[in-house]
Amino acid sequence: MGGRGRGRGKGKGMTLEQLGVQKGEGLPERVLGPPETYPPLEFRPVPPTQEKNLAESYLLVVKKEFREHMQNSQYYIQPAVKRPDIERYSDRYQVLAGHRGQLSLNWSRFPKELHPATIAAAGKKRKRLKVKLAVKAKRAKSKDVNISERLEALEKKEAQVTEETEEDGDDEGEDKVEGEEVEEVEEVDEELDEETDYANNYFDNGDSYLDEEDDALEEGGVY
Amino acid sequence: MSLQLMKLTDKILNEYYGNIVAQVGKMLFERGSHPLRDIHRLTGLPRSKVAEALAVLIQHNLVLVEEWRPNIPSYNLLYDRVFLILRFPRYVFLVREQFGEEGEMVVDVILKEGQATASHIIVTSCVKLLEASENAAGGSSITSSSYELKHVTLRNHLIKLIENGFIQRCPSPQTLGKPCPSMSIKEDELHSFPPELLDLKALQQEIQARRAGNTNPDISHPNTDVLWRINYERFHVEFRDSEIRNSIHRRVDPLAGECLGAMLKLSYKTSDPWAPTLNPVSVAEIRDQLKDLKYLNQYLKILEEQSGGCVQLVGDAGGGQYRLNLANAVNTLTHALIYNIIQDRYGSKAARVFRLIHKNSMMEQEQIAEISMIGKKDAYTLCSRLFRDNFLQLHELRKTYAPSPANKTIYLFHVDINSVVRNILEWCYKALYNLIVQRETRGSENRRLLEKRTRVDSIVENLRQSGGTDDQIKEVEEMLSPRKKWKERRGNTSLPLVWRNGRKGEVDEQIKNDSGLKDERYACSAVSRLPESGVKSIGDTHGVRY
Repeated sequence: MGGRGRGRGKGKGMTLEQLGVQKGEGLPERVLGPPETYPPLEFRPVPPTQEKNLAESYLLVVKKEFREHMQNSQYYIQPAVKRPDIERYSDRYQVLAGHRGQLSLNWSRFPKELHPATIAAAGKKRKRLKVKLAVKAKRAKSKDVNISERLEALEKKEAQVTEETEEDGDDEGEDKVEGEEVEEVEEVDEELDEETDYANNYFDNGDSYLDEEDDALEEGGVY
Repeated sequence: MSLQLMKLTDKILNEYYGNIVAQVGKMLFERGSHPLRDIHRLTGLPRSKVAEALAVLIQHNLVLVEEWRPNIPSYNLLYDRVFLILRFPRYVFLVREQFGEEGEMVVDVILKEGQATASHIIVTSCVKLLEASENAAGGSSITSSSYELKHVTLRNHLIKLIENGFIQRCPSPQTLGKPCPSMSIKEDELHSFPPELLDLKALQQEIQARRAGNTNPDISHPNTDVLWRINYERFHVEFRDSEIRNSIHRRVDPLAGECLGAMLKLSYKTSDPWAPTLNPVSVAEIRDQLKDLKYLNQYLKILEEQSGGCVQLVGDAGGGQYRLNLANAVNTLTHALIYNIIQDRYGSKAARVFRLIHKNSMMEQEQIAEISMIGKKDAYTLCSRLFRDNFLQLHELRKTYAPSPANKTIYLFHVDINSVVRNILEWCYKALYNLIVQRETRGSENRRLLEKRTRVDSIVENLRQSGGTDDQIKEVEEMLSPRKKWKERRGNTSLPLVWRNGRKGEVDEQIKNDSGLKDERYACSAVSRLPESGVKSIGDTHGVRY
């Protein structure tokens, strides 16, 4: 079996005769280099009939009309308009060409997640989530300060027990008020945005993907 | 399922529904069924746009929603349907031939909407028809009686189309308020039209309002939840039958074609049109159908001999029982088509070699050269060329596997028709894709010319309608600057050319489409020979055969 590996192809493959080369005939020249991209055709294809067939021209007209209709219908989805770098005041008054607004369909037949209202709601929810996160971070920061304050306070604890508890309670109350204010401000902002639909930033760098997954898996709020 | 088909699908979606839908479609084609958030992630498109694209695809029956995990739907692209978009004009034409202008309009509206309510179909097509007839009448008002009755005739046409199976009812959601509606429909509801769905008065009101220029009148119809769509299969049965009829027509004579048509009609009464063999019909029944055909028995005899195994005599009861074997008929047609394609591409000698090998199933090279009476060397070349392009398969035969010079290996050529058909289908997809690309380039290269032409035409048309004289029309043309005039003149010569070329592209498309159709039918019949008669598409066949 030793010769197996080396003798590969010894008995296999076609002989020259089988390939159509007769004895005593020279082998054709070797082809070096890739084949042509458009090799010349040996047989010209049959040209389509030039005569004007009524049925055919009818089909063509219908086809063209159908294509044009689809391109102008609500089903031809236009890409979202990219915001220029600088938001200009005049942008609001420019009619965006090609924007046809929402699809008008019988939405009860579609999965809920495709419904434009749910998408808008999901977007809002995500935004609110972000705001909440921001507020939380802020709160945590202020809590940091609180800790040092509290440490200071703890030192004095022995002396002034009643005063300390009052102060702490006050502090937290303030925090809450602050957080709600921020949220309210953000919400007002959002509603302004909704009015001009075009102001939405459609760009998604994918960072929010994980958030979204959470959204999809657990419908309820995380917090 | 192939690269060419994917490119074609992408192109078609791009053309008809825009880039975003095409991207979503491509992703679904490549990766199969996926839920929304994966599509969003993999395409990198904004979520709202992906949702819109999916909604459009569902609306046009191109995507199927399945429940992937509890309450999370996933979307599956029906790519063979995408390819069928190119066939829409043929559907419209067929209906026009069988049901007239009203039927044509109805189908046209449904195709444009994907799924539509009966009231929408009737109102839209009615308004369009009235507009068309007004234009044809040159602005004069039509009589009020036809105006009032138009929607009734349209309704009747719609019902006729539904009862004939060309249009079917869409399944409707059974559970409301769930995130993923489960769609289903009862068998008997598919092709019946409940009369309480339409309120004729409301229809008429809406038509009048629309015609008065009110685009969004506030009239409610009782059928908002019942949608209708096209039934692809029914059309394909019709196409297949006309193909079979035509082949007999060409082969024997028109009367024989008619005779076969009558037999088909009779057989469909008792059997499923996609079954490989239909239930037998008796001569007496056929005679009832074709009362004025003189030589019925002779024709049946000829059909039995000439139809390539389509018409088979199975018994003598009732003056003779004939059975239609559609699988055979489609096979014969497909073979003829393949021979033709090879003849056009490789020449008649190659076609002869191919036919020979196909008939004799396994053949050695020497034999081929001898029997086909082609020189040895030529025969070899032809064989190897056909082999290179996957029309022939090679089977090695040797006595022992020990290599020795005395042990000569025999190479047998044979034909695997399924692979040949797949091969040709690939070609068709590729050719279609190329033609679409070509048409687009031609169009965009000459866009300005074409636009100018339409503008001048429309001005002239307007003038003519408003009663302008020839001088005025001339004036308009003189209004164009010399440069434009020159262009116009050049346009007169070059434009038809451009148009014709564009058209040529489309004609080719149509032709390719036709052959694709036939091949597909072959694939269909291949499936229907298998126990399950899920006779739908090439995609299915591939799935089953592999």
